[in-house]
Amino acid sequence: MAENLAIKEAVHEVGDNRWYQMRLGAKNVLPAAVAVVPLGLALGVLLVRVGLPWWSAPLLAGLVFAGSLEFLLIGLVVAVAPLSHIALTTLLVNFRHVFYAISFPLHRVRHKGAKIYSMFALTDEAYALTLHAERRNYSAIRILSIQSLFHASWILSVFAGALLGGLIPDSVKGLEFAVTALFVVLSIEAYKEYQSVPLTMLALLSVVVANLIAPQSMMVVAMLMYLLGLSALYLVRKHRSVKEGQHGE
Amino acid sequence: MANNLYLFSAIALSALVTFGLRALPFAFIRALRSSDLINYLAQRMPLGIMIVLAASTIPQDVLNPNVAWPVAVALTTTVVLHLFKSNAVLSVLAGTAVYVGILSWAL
Repeated sequence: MAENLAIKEAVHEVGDNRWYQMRLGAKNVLPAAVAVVPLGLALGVLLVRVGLPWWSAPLLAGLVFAGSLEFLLIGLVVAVAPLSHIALTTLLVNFRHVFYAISFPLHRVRHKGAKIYSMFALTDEAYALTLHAERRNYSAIRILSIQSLFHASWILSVFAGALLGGLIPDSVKGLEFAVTALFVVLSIEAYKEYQSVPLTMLALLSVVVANLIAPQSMMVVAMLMYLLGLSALYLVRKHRSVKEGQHGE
Repeated sequence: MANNLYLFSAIALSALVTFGLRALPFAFIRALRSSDLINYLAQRMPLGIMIVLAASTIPQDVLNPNVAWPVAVALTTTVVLHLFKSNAVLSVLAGTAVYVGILSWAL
């Protein structure tokens, strides 16, 4: 019986049953696609609330497709920040994506256009949901349906927020706090992944110093300081291990 | 206020930089997978970046007591809920609801 089941599963895995593969992808992405709805609504509401046109909501959500950055972008655009500042902020805030390539199963997606889409839609969630793709033998269709369904859910919820935002009375203030709360939650999650008091202190120190020396561009400066600090720690550690190696001889 | 050309440029530029960051590493994928420094940074970056992002999105005049207490109450709500429930959606919504509630009706 168990053997039969195993064979059945194996047949499904290799069979190019597109519909079945799409459903598997949908099943994988469902929790993320649902979780992102309130955040998308908040982004859409915020966008209209600060005075940006409603049609910029699907444009922003569809093209930039990087949730946390989009919130920051709204603030920058409203303040008419220089484009160089926008590019630099994007570079720093999304720099973590560089590391996603290390584990993302792009080689499983063969079609050239699909490959480009797959790289374009390599969000935090896409990265997290495909961590087991290699071991569990995800098909290209399954990977692409995870990414595209998540994309659709994000665009629709941001758009809905922008369209329905007008229904929320002006006396409701402070919706932008959703962003702060999101990053606080993500900080806690990051700490669970990498529990380090010294690195937490390094980050907080960067924030305080950056706030003193460059209050206008605190975020960018603080991130650079943190990265420099990390690189310094790396060099110190490498230097030390080289020295220890010499002592050992 | 931002005009449409500026708005388009800002979105296009940000989309382009984001795509570059996601796509370019695949051109050097072998070198990346074997670089010590990259692996070192990859493990340690999220923690600091998220803390900086959280700090930089806190309301500007947070040192003003009238702003400080709603922020403190909302942050506490988010953190405590998240430590006990580990449900990101719940923590974000509850913290935001508390903050919006205080700002809209209690002040």
